[in-house]
Amino acid sequence: MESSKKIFINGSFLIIESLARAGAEVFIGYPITPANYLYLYSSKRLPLTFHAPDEITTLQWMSGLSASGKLPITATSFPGFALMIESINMAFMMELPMVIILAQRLGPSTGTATCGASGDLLLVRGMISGGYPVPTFSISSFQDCWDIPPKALETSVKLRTPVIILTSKEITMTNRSFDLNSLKEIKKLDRKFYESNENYIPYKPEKDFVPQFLPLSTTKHQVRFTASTHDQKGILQHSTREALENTARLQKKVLYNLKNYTYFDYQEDGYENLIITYDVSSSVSQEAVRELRNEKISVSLLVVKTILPVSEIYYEIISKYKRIFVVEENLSGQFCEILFGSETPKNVVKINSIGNMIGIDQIKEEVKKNG
Amino acid sequence: MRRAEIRLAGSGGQGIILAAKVIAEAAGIFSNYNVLQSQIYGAAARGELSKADVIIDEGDIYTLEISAADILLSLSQEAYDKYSKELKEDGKMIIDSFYVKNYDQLDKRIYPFPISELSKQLANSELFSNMISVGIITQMTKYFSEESILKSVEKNVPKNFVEMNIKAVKIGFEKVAEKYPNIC
Repeated sequence: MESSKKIFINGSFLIIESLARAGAEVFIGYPITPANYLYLYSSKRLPLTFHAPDEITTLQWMSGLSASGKLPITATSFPGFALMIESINMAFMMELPMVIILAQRLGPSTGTATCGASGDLLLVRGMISGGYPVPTFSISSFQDCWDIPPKALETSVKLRTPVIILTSKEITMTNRSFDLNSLKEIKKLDRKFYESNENYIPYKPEKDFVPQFLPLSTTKHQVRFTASTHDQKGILQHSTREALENTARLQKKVLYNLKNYTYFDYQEDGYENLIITYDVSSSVSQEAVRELRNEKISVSLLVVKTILPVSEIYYEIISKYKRIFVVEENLSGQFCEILFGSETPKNVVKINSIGNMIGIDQIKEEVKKNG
Repeated sequence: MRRAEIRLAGSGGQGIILAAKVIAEAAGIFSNYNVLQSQIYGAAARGELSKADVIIDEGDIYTLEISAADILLSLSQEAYDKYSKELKEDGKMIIDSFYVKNYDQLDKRIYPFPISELSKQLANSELFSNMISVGIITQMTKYFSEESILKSVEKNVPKNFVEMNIKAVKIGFEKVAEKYPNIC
């Protein structure tokens, strides 16, 4: 990388560049604001780009390419994502690696295309029929645009699963001056396929509950990808014990390996107040924490980057604190609900906003009032 | 310099986003500040409200949008109506006096220029209103040099239109010097 080069860019550029370097091979998509820059940079940067006629086709083509051994990515926003969900279920069941970038905007429905929000978390959490978890990462800063996508890609390959990167309009469309020196080198993912001469059993799990991958087009082994309930061989079953064990394994592999893809930023300062945040609220939370500490108020900060499934590490951190503040740009406090349930505990304060971004002063006021 | 918060607002199609990018790069690339530029727009074809915020600072920038502006450009009445209350006490508002007819004449923070009329005189079109505004903002704020803004224009507009856009920026410089010589 060139040294000491200051550039003026948006987060979309960094996300796509990092994925390209990490080994993403093909972008398939249908344009939608605020994901358009992701689409634009992908078409200039990735070896292959396919312009799909709609979002259902996008996911179907991604599944086909993933099954043939490519690493596909796409980017969309809620209206497009909603159309993708049935096919994400298919890819999840077939165990196909792929990365889906969800650039959130203000909903419901078409909402406001150029207004940011963090409103799709509960949707992502519940999108797989049966309640199965899909590894989901949240980008909270420009630096994360570089650091998180390669980790998401790696997780999708290691776990043989679709993964979601949650971001939002304020990351994908906001331009900043940025020093390229602050970016670490990204190593290309070293992807291994099944190599043994023994018969390939497509859904036979290893110790980590993940089956080895072998793409279509091999002549040595038979390869099956099956969306309906199936046994280890990929043969469709109604509800045999083996098939149901295979289905249950889809949850096991995501949870068992969670420690290997749990990313967060934790800044400890006493055990009085803890601010938990993700996405664009992280930036203002960080500054609010700095200003509060200058006023001699002790506040710790947890910026969550692996947001789903929820790691037990987060609960270990939370258990140390008297008061918790959950800062997120949605109406009801979606991550707060995921962490603590529908009834917010008395020592937990939600700080939320829609349409206007949460301000530094708003966070400081809440901490002072309740702290 | 202290943090500068600039808001550019007008109708879709008036080139607000490009003007913001040119200003942001003049400060962030061709001068050595940290900058952030966010954007909100409706459909250009429908002439919906378009807005871009630029924050310029020597230090780190944590906020992604501004609550009150040091500099506010209003190229349409709708933009004026919506954002004029979000100007700092010591801020400056630049308005296109052709489109913004209904404004507070006693507010000393307001600086009217016939921006779209100047663009029509230059090129028989309102296409250059954005770059005339960029010239006016450069001259009124001195956040960055004339040289920085001209370099940024050259980098950000299509090659065939560089000359005309630079002419437009320079008209902005001149009009400030003519009308408000104390500022220059």
